[in-house]
Amino acid sequence: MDIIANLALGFGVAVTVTNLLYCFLGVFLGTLIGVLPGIGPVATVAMLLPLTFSLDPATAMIMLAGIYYGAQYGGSTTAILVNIPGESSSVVTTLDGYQMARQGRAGPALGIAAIGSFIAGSFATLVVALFSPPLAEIALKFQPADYFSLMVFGLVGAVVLARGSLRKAIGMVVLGLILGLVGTDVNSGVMRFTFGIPALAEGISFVALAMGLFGVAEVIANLEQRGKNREVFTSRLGSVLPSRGDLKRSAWSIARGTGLGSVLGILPGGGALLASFAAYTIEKKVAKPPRDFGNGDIRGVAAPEAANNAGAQTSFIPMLTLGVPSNPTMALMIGALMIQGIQPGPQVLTQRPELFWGIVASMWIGNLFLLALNLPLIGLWVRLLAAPYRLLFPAILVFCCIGVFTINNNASDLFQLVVFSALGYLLIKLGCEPAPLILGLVLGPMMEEYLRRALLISLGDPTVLVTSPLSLAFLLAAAALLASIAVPLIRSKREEALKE
Amino acid sequence: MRIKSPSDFWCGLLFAAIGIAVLAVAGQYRLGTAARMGPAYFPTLLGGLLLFLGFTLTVPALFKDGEPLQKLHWRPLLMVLLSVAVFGLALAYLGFAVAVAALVVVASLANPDLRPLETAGLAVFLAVFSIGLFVGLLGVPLPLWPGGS
Repeated sequence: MDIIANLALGFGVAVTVTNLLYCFLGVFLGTLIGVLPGIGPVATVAMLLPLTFSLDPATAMIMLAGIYYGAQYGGSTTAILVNIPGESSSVVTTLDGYQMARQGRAGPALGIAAIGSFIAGSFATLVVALFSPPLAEIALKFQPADYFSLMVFGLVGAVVLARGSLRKAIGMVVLGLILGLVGTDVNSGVMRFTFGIPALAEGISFVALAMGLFGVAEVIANLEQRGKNREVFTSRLGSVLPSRGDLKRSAWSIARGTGLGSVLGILPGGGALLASFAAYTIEKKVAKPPRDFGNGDIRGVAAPEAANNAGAQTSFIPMLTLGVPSNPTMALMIGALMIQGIQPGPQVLTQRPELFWGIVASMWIGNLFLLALNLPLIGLWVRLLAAPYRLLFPAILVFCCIGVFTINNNASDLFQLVVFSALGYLLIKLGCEPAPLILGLVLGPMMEEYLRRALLISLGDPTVLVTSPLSLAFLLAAAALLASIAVPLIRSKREEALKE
Repeated sequence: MRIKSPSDFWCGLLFAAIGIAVLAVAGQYRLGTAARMGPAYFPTLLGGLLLFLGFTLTVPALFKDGEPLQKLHWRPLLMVLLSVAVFGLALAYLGFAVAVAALVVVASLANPDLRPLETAGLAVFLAVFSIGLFVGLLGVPLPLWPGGS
């Protein structure tokens, strides 16, 4: 079997002292930062990204994956203990998790989240290993027009899943695409939209943008909500090990969450967010007896936590095989690969198999560390959370600033951070989700390049986008997605699902 | 006349304004043709699209009720932005340790109930902690002290 040989290659890469150390460090730092209230995986990955620049590509990606899982779990911890989700993907965890904490069962809630995440992560790693190679093989045959349409499809997916107004979300994507074009045009060498600022010649710093929108702007928005009481349940943590009854009750929920999350994670715009919402909604309908949901039912923690970890994992598939990010975190990963001098896409699998399989293997190792680290260290995270926000927010700002500065060791990036923080705050006030903007930023230059090549080949005939069967299929899928939310029935369902 | 959906209205105006600006700036570059796209081609498409989206938000906002504009809180906004800018300036001239302390002090002004002792303690702690973590443990090259590199 190929798969076993491949995984063996991967574990050979991942299981070295250096890589294990960085994987561990990534999970630890990711959890440490992710546990800070209001800081989700995107901000955490952006903040810690520069730490990986000096590493070799495989080690860097392994550490980043560790950071991502750690941050995700850190967000769940905040959701359960303080009722503040680090990111939208742990919103549903607050519903039953926080209730469990109020009933003095914070320990088992955190425990089942860790165990469920581990099981889901292990399964999803296998899914990635099984499905990536065939997908990459198909993707190698993609023409520029197909890629362009695939990206349109991906962006439409992100738009459909953004909360709030559809038109605002599309606007965010377009704005992101435009921001992505700032800098030197690769084809003509013309400096576009740089306004004579030399620091912009290489384009907008996507870490500064992500940090501004997801880190600093969040801090500003949180600061104005002072006076709102945060109740932290730290005294009655109890044992983190769920009882046998808890495990028995949650077994099927974890299985369902894992399956659902693995599938939904692959979809563009999907990933952890969609997976956790869908898992909770389905769990409420399927689980028997259903009466306890919303009042601290352990299945209401187990299912979405399993689903969001599985989804986080499988969202690596489109990133690794197509070079198309399905969520903002993956957009950051693509940025990280490009900084390492690797153009993400199907060729990575054939040209750098050790890198690809090393990442896959380290996914599983990362999940193992997560379990090993969090069960004993939960007490530490809890004490960190008990600190008041007035002490935490300056720390968050310091980490954001260090993260942005260390990308280029250039203070001018910090002024980009100021500008994007102000923009982020303005967008929060106008009800615009920032996630589609980040995807647009990363995809902007690629979309332009693919469109340029597609039209060059077709001698300027735009119908090439609909005459290639693959491209047509992507565009039709995108149109169907858009139409689906224009239809009132599904639209109200979407609002209902995203509101909860 | 009354704007019925201020949130959509102003968001749409912002989009339209950015769209027009993009079209104007892109106008200085070569447009090219579809087969040989110049540097202005793709930005012009996007700028036009954003302008159009702006209209689809702004015009209906005049007639259809919607969300009000959320209140802006200037104190946290300005103090936090200022603290980041101060960090950037201080880092270039005074080194990392001073920059962290300055950031903490300025950011603390975002909170109306200021506690000077606590802030000073936090500034020192975060400076020491981040030097230990980033420079000591992770080996990130940062200019630590004034004039040094």
